Amino acid sequence: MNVKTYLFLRLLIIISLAMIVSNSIILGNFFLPVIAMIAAMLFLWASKKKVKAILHDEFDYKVAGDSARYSIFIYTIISAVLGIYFMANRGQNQNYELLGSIFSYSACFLLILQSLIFKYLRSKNYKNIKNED
Amino acid sequence: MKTKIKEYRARYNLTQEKLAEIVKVRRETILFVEQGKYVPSLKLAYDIARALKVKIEEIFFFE
Repeated sequence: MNVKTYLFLRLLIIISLAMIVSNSIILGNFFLPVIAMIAAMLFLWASKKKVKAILHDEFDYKVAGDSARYSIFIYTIISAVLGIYFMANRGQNQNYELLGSIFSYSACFLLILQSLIFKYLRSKNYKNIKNED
Repeated sequence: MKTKIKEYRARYNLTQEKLAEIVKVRRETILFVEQGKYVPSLKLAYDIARALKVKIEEIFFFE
């Protein structure tokens, strides 16, 4: 399979998945989108294995790392600001307190998750280096 | 960082695509390395040097 076919297939699957998920939300079905997502992931994984060309390399991994770092930074700042805003104005609307909590806790959760994964990956690499010594 | 990849590619009549295929990266990565916009890993630098039959220090220069 060449790269163009794979990219076309991927686009087709994403469109189909979006249609299934949106319809399932309208119908109130929980299991259908989950099954569709798992099937799509498996199909994409299988078709990716059949592609002989290089799809990702070290440059892509570096860019992905940078973009993840910026995304976390931007999301955390926006969530913190929105969280503070909603908490400060909770007297205006009864839902503001809940919204403020959701934004604040989601920012905290993301930071905790990021630091845990960072620590895990760093210690894993450190162990690999120690084993090589 | 500056490189002499383009010169050595021309010497061996290698296209960016062919070199990318040999060192197992995407063509765009070779382009960025060639333009000095991306500093490759030691492994990629070594692979490129080996594909072009030169030493690393002959094609990569830090200023």
